Amino acid sequence: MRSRSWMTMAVALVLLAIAGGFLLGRAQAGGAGTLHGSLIDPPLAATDFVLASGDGPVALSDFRGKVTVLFFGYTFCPDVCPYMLQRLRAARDLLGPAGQDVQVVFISVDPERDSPARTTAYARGFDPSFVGLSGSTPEVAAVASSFGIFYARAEPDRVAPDDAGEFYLVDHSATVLVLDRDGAIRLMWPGEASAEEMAGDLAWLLAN
Amino acid sequence: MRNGRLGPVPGGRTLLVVLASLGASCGDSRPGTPDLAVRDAWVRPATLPETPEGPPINSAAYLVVENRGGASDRLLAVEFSGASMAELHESFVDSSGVARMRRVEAVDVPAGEDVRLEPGGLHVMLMGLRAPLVEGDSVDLVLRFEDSGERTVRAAVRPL
Repeated sequence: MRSRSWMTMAVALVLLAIAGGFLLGRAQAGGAGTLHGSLIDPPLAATDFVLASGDGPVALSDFRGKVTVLFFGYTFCPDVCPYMLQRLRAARDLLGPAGQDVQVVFISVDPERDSPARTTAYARGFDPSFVGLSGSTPEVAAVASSFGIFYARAEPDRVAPDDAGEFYLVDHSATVLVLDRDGAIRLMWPGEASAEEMAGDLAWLLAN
Repeated sequence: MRNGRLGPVPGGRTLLVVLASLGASCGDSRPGTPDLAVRDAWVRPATLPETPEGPPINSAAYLVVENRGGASDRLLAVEFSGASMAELHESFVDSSGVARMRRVEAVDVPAGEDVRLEPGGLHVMLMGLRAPLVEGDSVDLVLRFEDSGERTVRAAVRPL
């Protein structure tokens, strides 16, 4: 019966390994190892700014105490920006009541066309809690630059030549920045992040 | 190769029958012609209720084109009377993380494949909307294909 006891031993070892892996996985669940975004470690202090909403000036530091999500885009953006804003709304909804501690801030990189009132109304169209900000061209440029956000009016050949003057597009960093309750940059999401992935990361950040 | 699906004889006859019935399931398509169906067409709502500046001028339309035929086709254009411009575009994120869009001259619809126009990828860019697009409404889009000609599809106005 030597072979039988060997079998029993092998089975026990396999079970132990599975259980160990399971426990390890549980220990990691909810830890930084399960994050979908890129963790900024150590957290990076964000430069405070003041931009304009439809209701008056808004400072980044107004949102201390909340997890703040910064997304740069423009209201004339046909595809990428509304897609991200809808996913951010879905991510916040997935968190249930805890989502109230998440503040989404949409910043226009097209201040020539996006007035503060227009940007605010646009952001609220996705979720009444969203804040939409714009400002003067140099103000927006300074804020975008301080967060490493690139933007530029797209080459005219991207649209039909006849319409290029009237309907220009803006290329912009798709990266979403997430600030912790202390206002430090903790996470960055790529433009492709799903609502579920973002909700998972936000839940972690709210708890840590 | 005893159970090989393409094994010689006895299964050969069955295979022919299967192939014939597959052909029949493709509707009236003849070999060498595309057989298109357009489904799941939708347009993103575009309203801006709280400012006097009118609606945002842009939106996008999305849809799926199925080609059950034996030949490829190409989607050349999509027309929408509610916008001053509708163009086939593709969003992409470049290697430095910048979201960009490029105009697409035509979208290939290969034989036997589905082509999906969906958020973050291929889409119909609608610029210069003449009226807000309100959730719950529907609009007509006219698709122009190289071989299959024009198809009109009804698109629901709805969020993602």
